[in-house]
Amino acid sequence: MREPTFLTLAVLAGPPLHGYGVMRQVAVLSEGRVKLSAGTLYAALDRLTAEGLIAIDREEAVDGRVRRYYRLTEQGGAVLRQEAARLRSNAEVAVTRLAGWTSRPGLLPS
Amino acid sequence: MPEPSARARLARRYRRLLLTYPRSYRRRRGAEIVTTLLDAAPVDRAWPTRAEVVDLLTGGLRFRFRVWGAAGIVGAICAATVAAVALGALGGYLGWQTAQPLPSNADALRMVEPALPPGTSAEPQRWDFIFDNNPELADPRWVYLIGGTDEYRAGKVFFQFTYPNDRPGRQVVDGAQQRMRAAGWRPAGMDLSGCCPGSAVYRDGWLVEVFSEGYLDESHYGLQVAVSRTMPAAVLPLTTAGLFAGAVAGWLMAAWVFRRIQESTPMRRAFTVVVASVGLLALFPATALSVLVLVASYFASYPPAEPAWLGYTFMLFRPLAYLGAAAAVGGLMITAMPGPRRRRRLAG
Repeated sequence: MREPTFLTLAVLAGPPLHGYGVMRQVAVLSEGRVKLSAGTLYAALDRLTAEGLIAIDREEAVDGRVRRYYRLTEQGGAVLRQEAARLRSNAEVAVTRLAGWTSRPGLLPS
Repeated sequence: MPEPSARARLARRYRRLLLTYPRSYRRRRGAEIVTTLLDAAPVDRAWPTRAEVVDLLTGGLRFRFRVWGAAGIVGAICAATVAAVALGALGGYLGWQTAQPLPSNADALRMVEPALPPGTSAEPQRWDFIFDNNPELADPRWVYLIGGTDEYRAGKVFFQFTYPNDRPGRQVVDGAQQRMRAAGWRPAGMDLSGCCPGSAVYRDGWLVEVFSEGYLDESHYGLQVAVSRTMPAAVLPLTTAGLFAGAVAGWLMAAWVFRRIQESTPMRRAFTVVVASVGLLALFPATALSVLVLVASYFASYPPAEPAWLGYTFMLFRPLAYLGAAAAVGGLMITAMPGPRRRRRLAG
């Protein structure tokens, strides 16, 4: 799963959000590292909706403009949980390996 | 803070950029995307940023090309290949229409004089078309038009001789080629072996083939010396343009069908897939043969004279190609018909 998709699912694991809310929260969660453009965001929302990982929660009209709110589905929650576990496991492996690693090849840590 | 109309103008500019997305998508998502863009834009912004322009333009184009899942990708590749070869062949056909007329009988005779058996004179025969079914065949023309042919031939001016078989045919053919080469013609390296010896040379847009037509009786064999055209310069550029245009058009059509059938009923989706698959399968033999000719056109070291559309003229492949084209058009028409959801929306 690519990082923007993972983060989109992660921000929706909370109250439902509209498009701009997702963009803003992804930037916050990633500490400004990932900034979704509208094109990327809606491509991801379309795909995730088609795969049943997110769903439209409700629509609102604010100042005559349409706002659509998205929420995580049960299936989306399961996929996100699975992906998070995989990333955590990978991260733990890397941290463990790094603990026993030295930048000088051939030398074992004391 | 800008006037409210400035915000409306920005919204209008965003909507214009969304024109790269398909209409159905704009209807479903357009207002929402514009809302998101306006939410993200500072209040004093009057124009979309360069990044937004690039994002929306490329996003719309990407959307039109987007398919997902193994079946979608395989379908799009097949459709792109079939359409690329068909339009490449059409490009080749149009390129061949720029071919020069065949030489007059006198000019043809002058050209091939070194190849003719010494002391002979002959009246040439002419096939003045560019490519067509062999006119010597007795079948009615509709048989070729419907059923195809394995005798699709290039136009030519040709001389036929009978020759005593006191010398091997190979020796006569090689002697003719040597004399033509001495007169400044280049060997074409074509494989004319077949049943009987043959050779070819080319120069200035003309191809001269000398080949034995086999034994006519116990003491004679036939020899043919023919002048035909080499591939005109416009053929490869037009073929290449056709290949690219066809690949893009085929992929776009497949992506469009793919998007539409996502919203169809399962019955209609299955029907569309079956019709489209029949179309692609029926077009496969003609496409495969034309691919071989196309590859030869690009990579042969001599000027090839086979037309890229040969596959669509070939016996049995031609009626299959008709069937495939009809199925493809039928599949597109079924896809274009409004589904129940769209009908309800139109009625509403």
